[in-house]
Amino acid sequence: MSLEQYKDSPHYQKIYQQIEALGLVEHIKHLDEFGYTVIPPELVAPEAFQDRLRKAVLSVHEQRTGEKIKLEDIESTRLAKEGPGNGHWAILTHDPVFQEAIMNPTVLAMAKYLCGNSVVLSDLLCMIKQRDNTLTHPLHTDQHGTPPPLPPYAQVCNVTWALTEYKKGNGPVAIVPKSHLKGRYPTMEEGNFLREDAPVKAIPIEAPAGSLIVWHGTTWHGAYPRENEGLRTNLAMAFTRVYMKQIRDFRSTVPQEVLDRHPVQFAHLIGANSMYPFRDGKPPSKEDNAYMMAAGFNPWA
Amino acid sequence: MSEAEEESQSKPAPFVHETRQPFDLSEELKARVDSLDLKDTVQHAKAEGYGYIYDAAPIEFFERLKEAIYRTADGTEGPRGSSMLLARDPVFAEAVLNPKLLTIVEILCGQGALLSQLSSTIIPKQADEPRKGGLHADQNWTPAPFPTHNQTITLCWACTDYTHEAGSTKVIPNSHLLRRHPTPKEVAEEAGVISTACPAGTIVFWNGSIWHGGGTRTIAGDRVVLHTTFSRLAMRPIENYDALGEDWLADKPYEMRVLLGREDFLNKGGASNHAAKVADTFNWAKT
Repeated sequence: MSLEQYKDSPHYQKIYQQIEALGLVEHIKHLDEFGYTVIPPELVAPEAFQDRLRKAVLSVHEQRTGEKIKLEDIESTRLAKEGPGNGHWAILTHDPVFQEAIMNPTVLAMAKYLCGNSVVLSDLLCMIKQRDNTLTHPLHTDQHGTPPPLPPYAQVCNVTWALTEYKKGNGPVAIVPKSHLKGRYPTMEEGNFLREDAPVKAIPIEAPAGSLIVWHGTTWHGAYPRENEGLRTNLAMAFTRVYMKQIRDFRSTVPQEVLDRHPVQFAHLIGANSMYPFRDGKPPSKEDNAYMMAAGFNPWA
Repeated sequence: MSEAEEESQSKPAPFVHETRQPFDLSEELKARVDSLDLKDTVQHAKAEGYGYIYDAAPIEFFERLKEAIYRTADGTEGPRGSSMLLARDPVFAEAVLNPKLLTIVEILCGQGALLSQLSSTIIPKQADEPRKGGLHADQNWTPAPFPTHNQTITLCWACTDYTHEAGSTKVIPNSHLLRRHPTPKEVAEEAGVISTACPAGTIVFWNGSIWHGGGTRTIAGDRVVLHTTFSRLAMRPIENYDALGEDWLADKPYEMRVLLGREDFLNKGGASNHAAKVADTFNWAKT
């Protein structure tokens, strides 16, 4: 059963028109063929916005660890704590810029291309990485809900906003091109891609600061240790299909005042107004449930 | 929580890398199937996509269930029922913890499966002749091609006899092999449909891909059923029981915590990545 049969549908056309308007057609082709794509900063957001994101990431770090890092020092400094770095979860409400980031048209177009118009944000986090030879992320996939063999459509996708330059030595993401076509997870033996005799070779993803790196939920990927001084920072956004559970319970934790600052699409995106699961004993009406039912009949719905 | 369970919670399990394929049961699960006399039930489910659990509980339990279904139903006449039943009577929690039921759920939805919906229906006589229509697969939100691994399972506690005339659920055996939803034409034609049949006191179940629908009751009396739906741990449940706190869970076994998603790392709040739950979640998701 091919997904091609759905490409005449209004659901697909709606996403494709957005992809075309944003200049992303070649990127979805690359994504389909290789399981990932790198979208340059000029197709994502202005430099000023990227700076706001960097400052917000450093602000999260300061709030949660007490350690202040100046933006101008990011290429040269180290964290006070030894080790590969820090990850900070549940940051959506820390700064409005994170809310703007998940609503960024390029981010959304790619997430919808992979998980349908009804896509929801599963989680977002920021990572700060420093020089350390630990292999923190052996090869893995982000999609875990369904055991292999995996369906041909993504149930999960990863949109990572590189806030500093990704290149060999900087601890970039490691990708195994075309691995999304395997329809399975890497085995333990296949996980360590750094070994000289590694059975599976990965490539380092090079991307200027401000790029989006997008991959399919079943693409095998990991991360190279950082060899250079300075810090690698990013904003990792995981999206999922509407019928999957989100990692983060945004519905119960995002305050109404945050929802009020955004259009209703924001509430849809974080699952704050999902019809399911219902908790008041009254199932949603058929009309209200239509978008979820549509998702079952078209992978782009 | 028992000491062993507390200990298992404090020590994250090692990661499992191998995935079990459908009906490739672990030795432990095979032994459980044998000890609960479920071998034929599992074979039937594997062969045809649906099946029956006989002697899941004493008939007195089904009588308690039936009484609770009538008592909690919305309304007193006509087709009726209710949903969000878990905490509305202790008999409902007992039903979802039934060992035979949980074994079939694990086989069809893996370890860590979630309670998705707990609802009841009371259906009086509907018509003089059976009606067509209503066929669907319960994996409503999953697009085709359906994943090879089953995503949801519905188990109906038949508190009254299931027959064609009594309006038992109709199914198309093996339709799950098509791994898609039925077309409107297929829904209208119902080619290959059969009525499930079993005595009161049986659980009839089907996987999430089987095309099925409600039958038409053409005889007097009520068809009384408790519908228990479960899903793989990563699926969004239909009902939300987050309001049930630790006080409600205090006298329930660990399995109830798992069924309510309290022991996996998904849909959690706080600023943590809930690392202690990660290994269990990933391992369960491979079964």
